[in-house]
Amino acid sequence: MSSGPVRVALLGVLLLIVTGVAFSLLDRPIEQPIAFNHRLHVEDLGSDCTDCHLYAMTGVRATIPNVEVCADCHAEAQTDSEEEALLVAYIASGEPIPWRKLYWVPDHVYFSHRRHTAIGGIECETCHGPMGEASEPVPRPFVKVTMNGCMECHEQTGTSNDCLLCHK
Amino acid sequence: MIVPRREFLKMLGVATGTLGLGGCDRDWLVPDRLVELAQRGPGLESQVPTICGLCESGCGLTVRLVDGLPVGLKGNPHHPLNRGGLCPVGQAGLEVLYAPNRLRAPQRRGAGGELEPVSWEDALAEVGGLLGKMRSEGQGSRVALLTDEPGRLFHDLAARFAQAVGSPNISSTKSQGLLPFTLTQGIAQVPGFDLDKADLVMSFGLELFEDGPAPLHAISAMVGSRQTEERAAHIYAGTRLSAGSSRAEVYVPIEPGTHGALALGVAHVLVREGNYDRDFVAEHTFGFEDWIDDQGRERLGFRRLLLERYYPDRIARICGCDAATVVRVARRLGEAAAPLAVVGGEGSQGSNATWTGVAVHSLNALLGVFDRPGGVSLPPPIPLTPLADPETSSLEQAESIFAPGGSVGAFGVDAVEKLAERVIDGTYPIDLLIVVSSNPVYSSPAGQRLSQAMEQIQSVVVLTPFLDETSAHADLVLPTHVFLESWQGTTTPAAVAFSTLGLGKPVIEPLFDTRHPGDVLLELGRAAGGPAGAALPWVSYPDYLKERMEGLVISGEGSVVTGSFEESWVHFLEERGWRFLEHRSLENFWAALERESGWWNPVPARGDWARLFRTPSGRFEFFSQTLERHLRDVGGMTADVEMSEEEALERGIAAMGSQVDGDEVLLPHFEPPIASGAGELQLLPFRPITARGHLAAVSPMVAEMFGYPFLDGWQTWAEIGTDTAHDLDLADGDLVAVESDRGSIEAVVRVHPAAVPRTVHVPVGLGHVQPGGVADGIGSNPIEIVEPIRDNLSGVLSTTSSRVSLRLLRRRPHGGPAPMDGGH
Amino acid sequence: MTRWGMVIDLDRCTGCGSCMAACHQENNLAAVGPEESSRDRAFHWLRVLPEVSGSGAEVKVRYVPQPCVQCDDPPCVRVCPVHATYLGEEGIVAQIYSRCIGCRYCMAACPYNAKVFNWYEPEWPGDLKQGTNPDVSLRPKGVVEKCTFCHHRVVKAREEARAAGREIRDGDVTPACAESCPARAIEFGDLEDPTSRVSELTRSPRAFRLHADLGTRPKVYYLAERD
Repeated sequence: MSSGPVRVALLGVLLLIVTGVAFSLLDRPIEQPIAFNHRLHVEDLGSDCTDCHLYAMTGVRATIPNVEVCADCHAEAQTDSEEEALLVAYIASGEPIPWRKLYWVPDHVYFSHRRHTAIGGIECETCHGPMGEASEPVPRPFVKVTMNGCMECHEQTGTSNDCLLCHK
Repeated sequence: MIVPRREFLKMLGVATGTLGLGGCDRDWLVPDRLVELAQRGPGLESQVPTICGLCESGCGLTVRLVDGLPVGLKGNPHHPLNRGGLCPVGQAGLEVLYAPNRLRAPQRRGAGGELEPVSWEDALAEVGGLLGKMRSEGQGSRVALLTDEPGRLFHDLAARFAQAVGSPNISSTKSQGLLPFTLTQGIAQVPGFDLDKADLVMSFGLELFEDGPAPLHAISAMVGSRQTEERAAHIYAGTRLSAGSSRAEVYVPIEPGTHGALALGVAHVLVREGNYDRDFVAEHTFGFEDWIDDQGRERLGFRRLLLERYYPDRIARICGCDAATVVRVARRLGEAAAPLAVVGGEGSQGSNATWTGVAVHSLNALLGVFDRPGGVSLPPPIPLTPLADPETSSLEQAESIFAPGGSVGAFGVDAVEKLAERVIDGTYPIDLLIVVSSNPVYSSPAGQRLSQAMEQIQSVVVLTPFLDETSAHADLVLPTHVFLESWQGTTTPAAVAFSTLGLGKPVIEPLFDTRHPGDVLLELGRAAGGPAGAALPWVSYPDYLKERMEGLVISGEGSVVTGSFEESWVHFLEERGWRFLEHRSLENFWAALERESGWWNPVPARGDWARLFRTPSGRFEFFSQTLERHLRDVGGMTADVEMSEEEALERGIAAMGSQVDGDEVLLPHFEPPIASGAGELQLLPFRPITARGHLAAVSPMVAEMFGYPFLDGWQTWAEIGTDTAHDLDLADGDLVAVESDRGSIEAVVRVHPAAVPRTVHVPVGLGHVQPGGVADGIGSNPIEIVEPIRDNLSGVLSTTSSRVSLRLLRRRPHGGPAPMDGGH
Repeated sequence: MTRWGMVIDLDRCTGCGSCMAACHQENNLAAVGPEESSRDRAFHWLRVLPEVSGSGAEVKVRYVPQPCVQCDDPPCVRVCPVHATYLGEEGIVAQIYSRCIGCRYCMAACPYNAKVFNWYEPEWPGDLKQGTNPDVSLRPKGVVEKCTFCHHRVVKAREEARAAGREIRDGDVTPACAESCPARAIEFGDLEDPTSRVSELTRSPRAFRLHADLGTRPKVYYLAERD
């Protein structure tokens, strides 16, 4: 029969392992169904963020474009890229592309893009980092969305940090 | 019955699972596309007006859509009925749309008695084929249609449908309480009561702010649209004080069924003190003073009857109130600038309901409030395109199953009772019964008989969005849209002073394989083929609605509701020959209606006495010549011998079974109510606002706030007065059996200090037994145990004529103060 | 600084229950079912409370719609060990669900019985969740919740005002209860602004507050019935 301290130590180790596994699971790199090239669209072709993220200035969510939006340019293949071929196949089938979200806030937070962009005048890069320069899908957000991050910015800009403002 | 929480959840789960006959096996029932949109869409908001279809009011709604999905409902501030307010039931509209146990596909009862899915095509072909066959064989009269879908537009279509298949048998299951107005005004409609401009409304049994055709209109007209100082006051006479009636300036507690007597006592005081409108009475009424008829006989006048028979001391004895109150109320009414007397609720559910109505309406005549602001008038007609007569000349019109013949003396019948009795006794065979948007097995005192009759009918088709007590007896259940998914055309509810027409458009595509009842009737007509199809030429229900609304464009009357036109302004311009409807085309008008959801005409036709009083004398008849003639006819038919008019009248009166004699029978008088059964308490079922539209059965929220004035939910209560509770040794929260000669239900005692002694009040709305909703098996339905005593004049079954006793089943389970102890 | 307040005119209130239902729909209050209801665990952020006075023939019953009265000196805030409930900048007593540990001290401290506790995970049978308001969270099991004066509407109204390049005005914000009231018995606005409708009404001789003697300084005022 093991003594008390040993049990506690064992438990502690177990706990460490469990939390370690849990965190590594949470922090798994995000893989996208299509290797979308932001740089090509933004830097090379000169698109604006809002050309595809249609509601970044007007909506609560900026929205991730799906087949209906992509079809405007890619109803037929423009290049011989394999990734574009994947996209064209999605468009042809009408199936939505199962994009994974990179940036998100929990359910108990009310976040409106419009309030920060159109009204607050904040650039997309402030929260999303240099997405436009990424030539392949980024596995983790450039800027980690944390409450501290939100609050720091609110403090700097003289915006209220009343919990109620963002927590619903 | 208290259902443990786990059971409750299981119940919901079971309901969700077992009804998934449309082939769904997951929690989400709405299309994936919509779920995706809700979770990932941009969150753009819009507001779309439509009409609430949950009860007969038809209030204006504004639906809040996020990315096109409805997520909230509120009252439409521009709609003239509710003006921005929305009742608890209306608020639950989304719970109806997204309810877990909506019917998702048509179902047919199989050989084993279980419902099995069937395609719309097969279902409609089957019924249509049957209809076509019956019609061509001249058996159309074996079809009957019961519909409670509100509004004249749908009713007209259903009537056309019945006509097209050769059936004279169409009726609503509800009594409209028209007869008092037919007897006194000669009209077949409830007139409009101008609550907007009345300054004192005396209500006899009608819980103005909760019950009646449009309670939200009453609240907005009497309170909501006015400054606090100009709010209309009201006086309530009845046996129970509801939350809304507790706002009354005076509450006159009276014995059950004595509302008419109180009205006559008030009339006595008005007349004795000369506090009535002499000019109006002289010019526009008949039978006030004693008079000599064309045979030279002296007839009793209303004045002498009142003064001799209805003096306050006697009234106080009948009503169980004190004489001083009668005098005080009468003086208050006589002094008011724009008084009104209205009847409803328990006042129009007694065995003497018609006479109660006549007595109350006579107060309006004494007060001379007809055809003036704040008074009684007829709402302006809605100039809908009339329906051309279909080619039915080849069909001989059989007598309707709902014809009053057979039951002595009555002007009308209780549709449900009549249908049930005649099918059961075999005097009027019905092979196909179609029930639309109605649950008479639950709501009618003759419901049990109807369910027996339904077993004898070859084919019963029920159109409903949820399974219920009536569809439990159906051979075919056809699932209908809920209102947010469908086009709706509504018309002014009864008793409103102006005219409205509501056009509700769908705010979401139908979630399931459902249809609008109007479309079902049109398709059945087509499936029946031949002349039936030809009489129903519209492609779809909205197509029909559109055609009917062309009449409004042509007439140029009224205005699309926008809120920017004040009534007085409209009136001012109309008097000067202006017309608002500048919509040159139907398309134009329809688009405007769709945008705003309603049309209204607030301008009454003043001075048109011939339209207001369509009696033999062309006046308001205290002495009802209509009734005299009717009773004479009835009396004449009682025997195959020639008899004098006088004798025929006497026989007619005897057949009607009045408890007074002489000319008093034909004048507003008090007919003592009948109470049946051995119990010591009188049972008065009532409809709380949370019971409107049977919503407590399907909306968890409405069920949870079902008895909110007692901080109650999910249970049926038996409301008794403090003295009654003391006499019976019952306390608030005790579980009792309410027992009549017909049966017993369970209820929880709620002690209310203002309930009249020896009465018990039980709300309808719970006690559903069929698996259509969330509250099945919860609470009780008091209608199950009422003695169906008939109002001999209208033929309608009374629900308030039963005596019951309360038997203690279990003492209140746990402590804490009772709601009415003020301990919260 | 704005100080939100409410005035409920009991002379206009007809006890129809619309406010209570509107609150349910607006704030995603899930039904708890018959058994939990009978234990007074139903989520009613606003209740229509019966109040009896007098006796015999002179008995009077009135109904008092009571949301959280949003005290300026809230007893619930003083007892919260984790700062989950606190007095917000604009006078709204906030309940931050993600901080709440469910100790229910605040419920015990509240003299108005305005708070309710999530004893179980809320249930949304069938598709009912689809009809919920996206502006208000669906609370998890184990947290206390309460009326927020429809704070999300304040946030939205301010967003609209700023988008239009102006300050928020009297009448821009209407909580769901006030909006649904057919009797227009509920007014909402800024108590700090002496010209606002609510400020005007609080100066009425009919104005009173619930349990004024406790010193909680509620921002929900009532107007007594006229005689």
